[in-house]
Amino acid sequence: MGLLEDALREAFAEQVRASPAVEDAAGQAIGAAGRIRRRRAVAGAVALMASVALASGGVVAFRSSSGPSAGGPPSVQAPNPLPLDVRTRDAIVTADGRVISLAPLAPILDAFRVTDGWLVVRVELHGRSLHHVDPRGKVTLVMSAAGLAVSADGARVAWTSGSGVSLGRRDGAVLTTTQHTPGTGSFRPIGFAGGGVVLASDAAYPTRHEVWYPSRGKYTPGPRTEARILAPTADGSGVFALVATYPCLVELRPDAWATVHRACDLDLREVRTLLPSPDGRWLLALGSDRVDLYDLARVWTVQEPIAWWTVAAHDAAWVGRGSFVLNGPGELLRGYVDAPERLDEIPVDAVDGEDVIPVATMGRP
Amino acid sequence: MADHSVEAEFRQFVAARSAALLRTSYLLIGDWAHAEDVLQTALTKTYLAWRRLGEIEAVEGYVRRVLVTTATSWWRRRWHGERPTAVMPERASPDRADEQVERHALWRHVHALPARQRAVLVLRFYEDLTEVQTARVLGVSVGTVKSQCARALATLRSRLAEEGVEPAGRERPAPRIVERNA
Repeated sequence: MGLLEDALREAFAEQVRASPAVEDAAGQAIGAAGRIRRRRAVAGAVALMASVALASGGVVAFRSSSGPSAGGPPSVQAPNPLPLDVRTRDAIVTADGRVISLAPLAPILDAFRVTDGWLVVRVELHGRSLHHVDPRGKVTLVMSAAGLAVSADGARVAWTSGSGVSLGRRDGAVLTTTQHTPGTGSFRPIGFAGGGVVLASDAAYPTRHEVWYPSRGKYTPGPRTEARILAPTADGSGVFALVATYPCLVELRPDAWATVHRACDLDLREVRTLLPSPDGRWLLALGSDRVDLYDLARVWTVQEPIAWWTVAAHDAAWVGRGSFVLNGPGELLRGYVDAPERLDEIPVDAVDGEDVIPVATMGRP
Repeated sequence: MADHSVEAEFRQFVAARSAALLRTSYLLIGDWAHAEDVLQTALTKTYLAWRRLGEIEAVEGYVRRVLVTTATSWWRRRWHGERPTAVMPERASPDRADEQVERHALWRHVHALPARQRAVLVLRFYEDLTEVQTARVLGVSVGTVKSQCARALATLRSRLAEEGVEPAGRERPAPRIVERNA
């Protein structure tokens, strides 16, 4: 053990030498737990009403997490409705408080709200599996493969198949293959952009990317990029990526990987996730301990975030116009682009302090 | 198990562990008032989960995990309307023999680290957890613990060096070389 480690031990011990006494911590915790239980009892009663309604002919429609639901009657209002569905490592909690256990799929890698339920991605020993969860909570395996990607509208799926890639159309839990190309080798699909399927090489670093354009027939090797592709643009025409060691933020067109925009004066070293707003105006950048908000109309010239928060969040979703939610232990944090000083805590009582991750809705405009 | 029995067990656990947990919470947060809030949240969640947790080892692990995840999320959840200019390093010519100055500088820089890196340091060098135990508490891989710890230590070394502070540490005996015959 080195000198710095020893110095750290001493500094920590010194800092807590004069710790204050804890006043009836157990009593306060028991009291707070009682209040939470009473709140849950009320929420549970409402959730039970929803379940009964579903079982008796489905008068309850699940709310879309962004804007009005796509037809159907309004949902039952729980006392504290969430702004969107959320998930934990083994369950989905709907916006109106219903808990759908997905224990056999745990740990869940990702989940999306689609018009006919949810799509859930699970890590398998040799790849990924995609599952459809219907509004009643029935889970059906859609497919599994070494690599898979789902289009932004949730209707198309691309997956590795032998030494090629297949493309299919999803309807509920049924996947119909529409096209296949051989020759993609170790490349696997990671997303859809610019009319093509974006493929990534299996090599850990640097990861290379190519595109297969199904409309042009079979895959042929084309230009490659080593940029770290993190998100499609809101309109699906391109991708946001980071390039270089001290990274520049770039917007690329997959066709020839032409750079549309570039900003190199941003601090993006710790960024792991980029999330454009559905209207294409804003971009959230999630780092290890910080969330930055960029205005995409100005960032390429101004090269600064319009606001940032020191908060450890690794996942986020946009809800409505100009509002987003971040994950957290037992709660969500809701932020607003027009009022960045606000970061509202939204407790999710249905889970015991577990990490609560917002579930994005697919198929948004 | 009857409610009063659960309550008694919980009170016993809190009496034995709350002072130590508060100290850990403080090292994660850096503020006694917020540290108490975070501890209270962690204890409330632990009480709610008490029946399901069962063994005391599971309770210890659970409360520590909730404490760390809550602390790393709560820590300075602040809005910044504008990006601060780079902080000029303080060149106060610290006396290297003065351990107080060194500890103060070290503590200050620990609190400038990302929350997860700080949590790794607290769990490894205050709680004396192994890398495997730290990984379990943080819900990450052992490799992540190793890389976060290495990165945090490198940052601290570089920031202390900028201020001309070198960690003195305790004087340790020279390593003993043992010859091994084949």
